[in-house]
Amino acid sequence: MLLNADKDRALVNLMNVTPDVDFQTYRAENGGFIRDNFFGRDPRTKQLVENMTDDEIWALKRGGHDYRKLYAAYKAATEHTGQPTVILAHTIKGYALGPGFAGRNSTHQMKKLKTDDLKLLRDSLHIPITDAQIDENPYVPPYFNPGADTPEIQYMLERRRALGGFVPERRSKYTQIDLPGDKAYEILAKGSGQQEVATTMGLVRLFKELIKDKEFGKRIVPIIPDEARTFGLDSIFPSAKIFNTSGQHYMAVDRELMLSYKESDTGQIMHTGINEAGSAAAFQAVGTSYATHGEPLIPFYIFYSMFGFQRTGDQFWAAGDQMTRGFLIGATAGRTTLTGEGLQHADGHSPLIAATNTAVVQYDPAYTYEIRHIVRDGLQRMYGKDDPRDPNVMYYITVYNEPMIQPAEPGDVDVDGILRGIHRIHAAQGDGPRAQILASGVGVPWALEAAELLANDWGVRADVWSVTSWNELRRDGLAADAQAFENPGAPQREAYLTSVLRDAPGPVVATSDFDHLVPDQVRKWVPGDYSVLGADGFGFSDTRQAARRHFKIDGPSVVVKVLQELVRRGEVAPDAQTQAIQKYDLHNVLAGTSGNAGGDS
Amino acid sequence: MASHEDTGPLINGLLSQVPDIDAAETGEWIESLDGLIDDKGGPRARYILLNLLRRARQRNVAVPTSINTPYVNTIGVHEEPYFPGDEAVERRYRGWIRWNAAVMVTRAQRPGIGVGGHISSYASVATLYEVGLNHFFRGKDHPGGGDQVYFQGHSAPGQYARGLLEGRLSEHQLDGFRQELSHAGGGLPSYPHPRLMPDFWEFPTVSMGLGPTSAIYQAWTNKYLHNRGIKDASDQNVWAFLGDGEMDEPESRGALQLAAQQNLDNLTFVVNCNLQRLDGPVRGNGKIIQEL
Repeated sequence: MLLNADKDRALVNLMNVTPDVDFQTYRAENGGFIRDNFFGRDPRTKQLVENMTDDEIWALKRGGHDYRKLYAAYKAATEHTGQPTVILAHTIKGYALGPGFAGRNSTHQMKKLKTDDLKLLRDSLHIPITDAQIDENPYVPPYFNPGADTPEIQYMLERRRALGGFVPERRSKYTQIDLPGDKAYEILAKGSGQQEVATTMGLVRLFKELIKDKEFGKRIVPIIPDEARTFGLDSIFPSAKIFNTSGQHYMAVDRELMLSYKESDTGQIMHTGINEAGSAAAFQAVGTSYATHGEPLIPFYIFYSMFGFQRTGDQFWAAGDQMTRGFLIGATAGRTTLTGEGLQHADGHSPLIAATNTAVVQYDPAYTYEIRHIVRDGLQRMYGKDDPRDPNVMYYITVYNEPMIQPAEPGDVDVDGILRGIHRIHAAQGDGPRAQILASGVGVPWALEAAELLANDWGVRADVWSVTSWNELRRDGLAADAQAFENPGAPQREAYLTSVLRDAPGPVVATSDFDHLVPDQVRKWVPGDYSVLGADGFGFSDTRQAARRHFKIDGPSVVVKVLQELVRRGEVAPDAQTQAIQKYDLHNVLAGTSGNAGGDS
Repeated sequence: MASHEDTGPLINGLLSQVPDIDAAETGEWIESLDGLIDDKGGPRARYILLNLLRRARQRNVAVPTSINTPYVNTIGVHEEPYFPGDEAVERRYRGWIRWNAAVMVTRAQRPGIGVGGHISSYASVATLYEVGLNHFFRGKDHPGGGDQVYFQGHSAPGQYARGLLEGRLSEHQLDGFRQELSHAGGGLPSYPHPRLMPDFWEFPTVSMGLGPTSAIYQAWTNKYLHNRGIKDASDQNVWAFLGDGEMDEPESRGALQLAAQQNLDNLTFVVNCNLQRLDGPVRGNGKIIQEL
């Protein structure tokens, strides 16, 4: 009405040039103040309101409190096609809460209403509650609930019925799905023969098998922030195609090639661009489809491990809250494996951040045959029938880009051990002092190298264990401890790691491509002596061998650490440690031999 | 140095270096404009100029577009559609919801409990929700499958207070606000947390900035499900209620390009512009609504 009378657009001009805080201040004052300090600034606008009382001026509303304006905006939004809509609604913080709240800078922190405020609010909202009822116990003012039979509540419930039920509401019933059979996973059982294959590639191979599954395959959603080529996933571009609501309206430069870039409005790949924040949000939306839409989708979000938990940990936390299910793949993990890329890329700690999110189950597999069991068990846990475990989990699997011979799965493989976090992959033969070497991920080959050096050079017999999950071993240990803590006198369960290593002779030494803290997590549950090697701090760019020697996590470093422990126990010659340092030239980064050449992305 | 009077007009935001090839003709046009302003006044001149701009664009003449619209409602009063509800009734129970929200938070401050809560956020957003809940937001039993609504985290008391009137929640439950363990029978979480209240809350929103990004990718995922033939999601809308202070998080605006590029017409952002953040104004010297 005022705007229609505003022939010179003086009022529009005034609103255009009034800073936000002035609007806020007006609401914290009164009608007379608004007349003098807002309308009074231009004679034309002053004239516009000269026939209005102060109370009428005070009653002028912001659009965000006006039913009809909002209805108009929402209606326009729902009817608009082709674009998203943004509605900017001007409102007042603490609206109608009385002079102590509305528009005050401290209003966000105000947590309770004093007796007088309550009475004012009651008046402005027309609540039929007496002063006496409020005064009776000001800490516990009465609710007002006239019951379902009143016309207003009838109206309210009828509106919700007409619109399809209450909001918000969450449901978690979903279409049951059949998981892929064992055959899909066989591809990773045989090993790689003489060919060197990185675990990243192994995982991608399995992934391509799963996506081929007739029924289940279409529910897999690869989420990739512009590193598909790095991870070897560009091979699914032509078959699975990249999702784009607009399809593809250009001729791809590589259209003649087998592996050309293909976008489609029915594509399967969410190619999110260089955008980890968005990728993590996509992971959350896709991984909760089972609840939001009642249709399970299984996200495989593949990222540079350094730019996952460290960069978007808060989104993963929210994903845990929303009970997201799916797989996070931390590709190119390790502080020395991607070492050509240097400081910002060298991930030595993502398993630790992952450990802080209780919805995340983390695995650091060494071999592709371990991966096949981990992925199968993860799917079983999330969507399998009659599985007693909490299905609302996100698997975080760290994989590496260092090519190596992948061994075939042994006939007597300890699948239960792989899934619980540790299994023995090398049992020492012969006589001599004994030791146990624990390693994970890309560190397992160095542990095997160390066992060989120990046997050949020092006559020491070391078993080697692949620790597929330090995090899960720790959680199991904590659970066993909590049980004992809360139930004295009851039968006590031994931590799984303790039971596995109970009869393993000799000192225990751990190595990995991560910070000391990763293997240190399980210290409490290792029986006997436990030493840890680790790659702490900022990485740098150099060769893998030099980096591993620098951090003293490589094969010869493990040998020296084992000998140090055996010297202390009096089980080898007193100068063995010194001799080994000289023999392997331990302080010389050029003497490192653990690992392949390379280290690029 | 040449004054601006001696150089060309601004073209694409830059001072034009193009020489005037017919200064007399340019002068005639300017004279006509002067005449129009003198005879009919500024508003009429503005109206004609805006029409000329529109015509120029229709004829493919590149002219700068105005980025800001005036600080008035985009939808004029004469364009407002018929409001199908009973506004008086809706306002009455909105008052009841607001009262119960304030009572619930005040009760959570009773001696021996003192667990706090925010009163003001819901007060500012109540109407935005109520219009949606009375006329737009579809529940899970709607034939289209229902909408996804991201409620502002700090306004959770309002959803609990509405739940009381709807008969979904009891007074006893409301008295357990922020006392999830110690309250007999279990209390209510501080903010929307599906893990803690899995039949009620659908989307966690209280970490500022994550809600807006999540809503965009939710809308994209809806299109994905639909286009890939897994579920007909064509009649499902995503509504994200956001704070103007929250819009300062890079996550809040950083994913908008995806929403635009992917034509996510199933998504509506409603920014509750109360011009305040926790400590003070969102933009003291400026105008956040105009900026957005």
